[in-house]
Amino acid sequence: MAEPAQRDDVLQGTLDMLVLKALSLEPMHGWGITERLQQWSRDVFQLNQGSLYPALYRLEHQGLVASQWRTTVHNRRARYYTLTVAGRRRLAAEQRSWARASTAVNLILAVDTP
Amino acid sequence: MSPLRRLHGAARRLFGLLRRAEDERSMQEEMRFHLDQLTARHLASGMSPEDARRRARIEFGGIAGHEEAARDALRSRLVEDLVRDLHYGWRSLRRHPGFAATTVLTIALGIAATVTVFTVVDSIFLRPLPVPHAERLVSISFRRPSGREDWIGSLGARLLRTRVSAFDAVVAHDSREVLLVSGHGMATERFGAFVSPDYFAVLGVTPYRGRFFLPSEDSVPDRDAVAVLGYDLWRTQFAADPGAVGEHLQVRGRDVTIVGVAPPGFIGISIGGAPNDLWLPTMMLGVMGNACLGRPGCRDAAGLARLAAGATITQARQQVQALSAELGAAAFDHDTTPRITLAPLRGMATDQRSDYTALAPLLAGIALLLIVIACANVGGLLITRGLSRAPEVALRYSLGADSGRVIRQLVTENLLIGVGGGVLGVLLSIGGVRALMGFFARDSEGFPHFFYLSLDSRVLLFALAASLATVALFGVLPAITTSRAALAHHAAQSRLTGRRRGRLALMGAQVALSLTLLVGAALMVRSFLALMHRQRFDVSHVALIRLRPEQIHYDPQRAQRFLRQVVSRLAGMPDVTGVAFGRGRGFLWDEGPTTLPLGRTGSDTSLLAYTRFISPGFLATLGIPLLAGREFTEADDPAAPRVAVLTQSVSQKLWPAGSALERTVILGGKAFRVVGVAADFAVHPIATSAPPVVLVPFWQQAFEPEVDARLAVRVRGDPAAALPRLRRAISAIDPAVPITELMTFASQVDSNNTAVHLGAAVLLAAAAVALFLTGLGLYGVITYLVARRTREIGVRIAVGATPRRIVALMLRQGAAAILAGGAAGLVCATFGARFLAAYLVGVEPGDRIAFAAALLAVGGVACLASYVPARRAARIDPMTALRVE
Repeated sequence: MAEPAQRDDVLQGTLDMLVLKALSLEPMHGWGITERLQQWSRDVFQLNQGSLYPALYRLEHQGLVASQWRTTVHNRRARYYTLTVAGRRRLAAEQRSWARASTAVNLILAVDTP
Repeated sequence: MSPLRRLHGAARRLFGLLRRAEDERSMQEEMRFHLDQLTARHLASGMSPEDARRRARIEFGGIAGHEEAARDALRSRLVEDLVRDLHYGWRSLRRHPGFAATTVLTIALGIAATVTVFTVVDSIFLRPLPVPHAERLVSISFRRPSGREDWIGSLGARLLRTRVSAFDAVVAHDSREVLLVSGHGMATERFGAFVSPDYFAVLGVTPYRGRFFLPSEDSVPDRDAVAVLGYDLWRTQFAADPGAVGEHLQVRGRDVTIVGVAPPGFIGISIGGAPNDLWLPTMMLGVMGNACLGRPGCRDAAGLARLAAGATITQARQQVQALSAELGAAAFDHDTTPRITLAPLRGMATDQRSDYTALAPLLAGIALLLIVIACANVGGLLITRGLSRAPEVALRYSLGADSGRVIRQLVTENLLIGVGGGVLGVLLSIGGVRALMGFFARDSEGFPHFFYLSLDSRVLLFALAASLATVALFGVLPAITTSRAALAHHAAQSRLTGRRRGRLALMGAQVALSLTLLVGAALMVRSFLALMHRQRFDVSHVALIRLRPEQIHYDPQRAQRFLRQVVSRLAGMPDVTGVAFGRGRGFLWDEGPTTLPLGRTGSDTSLLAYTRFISPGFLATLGIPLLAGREFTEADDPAAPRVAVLTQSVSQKLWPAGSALERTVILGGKAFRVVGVAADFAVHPIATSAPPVVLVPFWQQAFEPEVDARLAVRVRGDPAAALPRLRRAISAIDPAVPITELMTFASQVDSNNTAVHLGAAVLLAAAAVALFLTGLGLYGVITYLVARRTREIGVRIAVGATPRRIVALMLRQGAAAILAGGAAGLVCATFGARFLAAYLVGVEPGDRIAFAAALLAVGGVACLASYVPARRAARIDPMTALRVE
């Protein structure tokens, strides 16, 4: 496995949104979510993997995800998280506001200064 | 996962603790799975197992920190859930105010019944005195083979004080003496106690003014005439004057010096007896006429001991038992080895309990029936409600709620109902206790009795436990059935039929229990009416006053002169319409010491009659019907021939055929001419027939030299309001003569009939509550059945069924349960009535009228409760009904 050139922590405050995004394709367990986020970020994001779980419980409590114990293909018990309707709506809203914010940040950083 | 397993898991997660453990396990398993996956990936990339595990742990981060953060997230979730559930529950109850009010009221009535009975039984039998170290106080007494209790006497107490190391104090006391207290502008009867000097210290009271008794003041009979005033007596008679200490009073004519004042609220230890107003040393018992003081064989006082710190009652028992021969010698003056009992000092003195022992099981039985009825109702209500909201719950499941969450929400809602019912029940019980104990507040001589009745922490704990039990039974189970019903919704409507049968069975049981209570109530009411009816006097406008000049040692001439003055003075008052009197002891009810053989001849002594000594005008003043002849006049004086008035039953026994008038009866060996026949007027509450009574003139009796008279004064208007005026008028003649037992005739009659009156009142109240709850329950069931068959009824109406047929159809649903319940109730009532036999006056336990009245009441309520919803069914609009669902 190739070492990536550089690895960053997940940007403060974006973890919830990334978890929701990771779940938008299909229900997944916690491990799967970290795998997917690393893969999608092309290994740039180094998720502090344990911090995923408090986030998941919070999201579940807010009704954005729901959980269920199921058996994996390798026949192990794992807790699968599913995006709820409310979660899908929240993800869309967060994506919009993220796009606005990152455009604004890029515009600012693009200004040439000596 | 199957619904059953989900349910199982949900039930286990019901309570926070279980749930937290479940969350914890689930969290750890989840994190372990994650670590295993990471390790596996590193292994696959060729690392050694050890390196792989190490690497995985580093990438996962500090596991303890993550767990803690996860726990925080879970915990805040629980609290927020609870708040949200409470809020949701409150809103949902407010949407159904009828259901909420009915359920809360039903639980409240059940709790109130239990708490009331518990408090009353507690204060009579269980409650320790409100003094420090009350748990270490024990009473010591002899128990005769006959079961009778006997006091150990002050000598016995002295023996135990020096010889029993398990006690650190032994008190001798006689706490219930009626003392005539005079001087300082008063002449009243007060309850007082004769106590050994350590009495106050053991009970943890300190003098409010002055001091209590010195040990030397209780060592020589009749030497130290000192007294401690009760706070109330000091406040009312001495205007709280600190100078009262050192003043003198007369106690039964004996001059005593006041040495101190007891603190406010201290009223002695005679629970269920009268509060003490005055204390004297035991060595002053001579004022009660006790001549044996200080000598063996004088059982002059009861024993009360305090266990030494660390000593047990068993040790004390052994030590006391070892002294039984010596105690016997001290207390009985001859060779007796009595059985000694030591009992923790709780509730009333054991020898005073007899009036109440019959009461406890009666009250407990009634409370139990009420609770069963209330529970049946609450259970039915919650089950019905649970079923009716199954669709709502099913909807929540389909939106992804997990079953634990749904059940918790339902439980929270039921918890709200349970707690509401509990609080309301406790409030109701305060009134209930007050009403119940009102029956015991005064005895037939007008003396107040006291009980410690405040709701203490134990009673509140009890109420809490009862509420929680109700919630556990009727909150959790219906929540789970609701949840199950929701899961089964659509699929298994048929399964609900079983539950419908269950509800109908509950209804039948309720009908049976209500009928039982109602029969009891009807029997007691009939008894009470019989008692009132047989008491052939008119109590409404009569005041009673007892005059006892003999207590201040007036000679008979002076006492009689005084009595005549009082009668003529009272008779001259403008609002007085009649004055009469009878001898104080054995006035109307008291059997007294004077039963005399009565017959037509001296040798005929088949009857033992109670003799009542009465004044002229007595029958007229009390409104006792005179059936023949005349009553006594002033002319029936000691110089005139002896005359008597017979009661009707006596007259009929002696002369079954003809009139008794002008005949001669032999009473106690003396001949009396019969001048009149009066109605049988007084009934002893428990006796089955009127006792034989002979009336003789008060003034004609040479064997009645002293005067102890109970005056009956008939007034216009309220007799209670006239009492102070009457007292002033008598005091104006001679302020020194004690006026006691100033009360209305009606209240004396009431207190005399307490057992029957109380039984009637309690049973009537209980029966009313039971009937109400049963009506409510029936109404609920029929309404529910109608609602479930709305569509069917719509179809029937649409195809031409008449309203009458619909009503009949609906009524038929509950009819079988009601009829079966009624039959069962008749059987229960037939057995139950036997327990009441001791309280019944003039009615048989199988009295047809009582049974008929009860059946009529239950039947009426059942018909009404079923008819209203059935009638509503007949008004269903078929078009609307068919559109349901």
